[in-house]
Amino acid sequence: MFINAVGQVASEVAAIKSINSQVFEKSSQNIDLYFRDLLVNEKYLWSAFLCILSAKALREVNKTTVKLGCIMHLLSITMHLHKKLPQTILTTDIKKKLQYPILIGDLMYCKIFSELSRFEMQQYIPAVSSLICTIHERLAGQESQEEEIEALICEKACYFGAHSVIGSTDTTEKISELGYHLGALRTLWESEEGYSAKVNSRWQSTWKLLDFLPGLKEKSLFQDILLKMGEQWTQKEQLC
Amino acid sequence: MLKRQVFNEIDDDMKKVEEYLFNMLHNSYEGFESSYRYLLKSGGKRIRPAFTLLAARYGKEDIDRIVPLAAALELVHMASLIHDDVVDASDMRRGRPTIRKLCGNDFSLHLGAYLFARALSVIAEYQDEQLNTILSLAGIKMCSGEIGQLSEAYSFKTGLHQYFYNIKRKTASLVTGSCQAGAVVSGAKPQIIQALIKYGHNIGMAYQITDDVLDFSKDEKIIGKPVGNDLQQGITTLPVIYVLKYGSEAAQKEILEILEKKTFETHEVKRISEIVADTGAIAFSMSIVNKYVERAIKAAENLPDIRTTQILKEIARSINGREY
Repeated sequence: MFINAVGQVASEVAAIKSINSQVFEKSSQNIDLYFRDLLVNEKYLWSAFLCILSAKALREVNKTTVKLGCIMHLLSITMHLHKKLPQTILTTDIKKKLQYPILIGDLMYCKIFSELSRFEMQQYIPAVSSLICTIHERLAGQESQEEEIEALICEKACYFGAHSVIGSTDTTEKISELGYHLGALRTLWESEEGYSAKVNSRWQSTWKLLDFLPGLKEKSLFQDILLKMGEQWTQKEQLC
Repeated sequence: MLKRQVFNEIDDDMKKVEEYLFNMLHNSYEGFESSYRYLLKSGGKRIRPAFTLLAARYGKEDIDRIVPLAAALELVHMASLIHDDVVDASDMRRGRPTIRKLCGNDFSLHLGAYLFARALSVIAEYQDEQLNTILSLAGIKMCSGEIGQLSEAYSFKTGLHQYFYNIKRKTASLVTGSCQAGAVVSGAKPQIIQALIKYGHNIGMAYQITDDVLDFSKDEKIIGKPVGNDLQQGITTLPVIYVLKYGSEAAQKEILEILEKKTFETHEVKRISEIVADTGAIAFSMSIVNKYVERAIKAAENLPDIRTTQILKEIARSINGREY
């Protein structure tokens, strides 16, 4: 529902969904159906959306941005697939429920690697592998809540989006920080079901960060998203 | 037996790979580092890095450049085994408790994904588009093979053609990739790379079929995992597929009656092993192994006549005598 608040990136988001829908085109019907539900879930599109938004706020979106958006989308779905598993496997039915997510998740990692294999994308492999490593280290060590995991994914998504159009600059670093906050904010918003003091506090800090973000051609793209989130519990005037 | 002495001539290089592997997770999350070292100490034949090292000898061999690649291939293989153990709910591998058994499903899943990502970062350092493509496609095939096998589990309708297609993807693809990657990174000539691809494919196929035969014909202590492990997962491999296709009506009926129960007692697995042996399924399967071994040797005939080629042929010949 937040993604729809920014109509300017609708075509890119649609392109990402369409490209990624072909990932399992030739797979069995069961896998295809399983995957399709995840593909259209806005929760897993959030990182891809922020990637596109970051590029668009700075310059025109290019092919690399869309490819990176696709990768972030697949990565978000994979993280969901590889989340908590039952510790004891008692029956064949339970076993089946966890087998597909594990193997499909692994397949996605390979597809991500395959997409990154191309010449112009190779430069992003270290950052993606480092992100995967960090997330799995934290999940295994039970050091991080979902909020932080999403924040890390979105931090990288915004970095990639900005990097694809302006390369590595101070703005790229700043926009990735904004991504971290937006990832955490969305997860908090969902887990707290809208308003809470915690959400409000995160919202305020994100807004302030955006205010001081240099070099954004279209700052309003991010503002629209924040306002959409904020309008659920308070007046726009107060928030701004 | 895939004799250790076959690899004797690359022992020094393999030690470098082992050392690299042992140091790879230094400074990682402590839980990962200790589990990873446990896995490394559990053994394993390290055939994938060995093939990478051997293949690299057909180009400008620079051992320091090849070692990280060889280690990365072992890492990919280890990651896949860790996840396989979760998927199969396996408690034992190589005669020792699995990470899943020791640390749980969640932990194993994260460790496997972590190792895969670490392998990617090593491979990325080569900045070689061809290498990236070879290994990412090998990974895609491996996962697709596992998914394909899983989707047929407990149907007991897997035919010969499907079986060969599954093992080509789930095992032969990474062995092929290991040979190809070593040759590509060392700058070997295209015709040599092609010969090594064929060699790797045939060795990978022979290796997996032998593994499937050992699953029925050897003692648990020798193979390091429960006998009939695949059947317990609802997966039919070549020996059983043979019985279901060419065995006597009585043998087919008896096996199907057991299989349809979907969970088996030890004596039932033993009975299936007896039927498999009585119908000549082991001999048939080993004849197929021999065909792949012959093809691997034939592929090696197209390689330069150097000592490495002799080693590759010896490895091929030793496969049908494997005991674990």
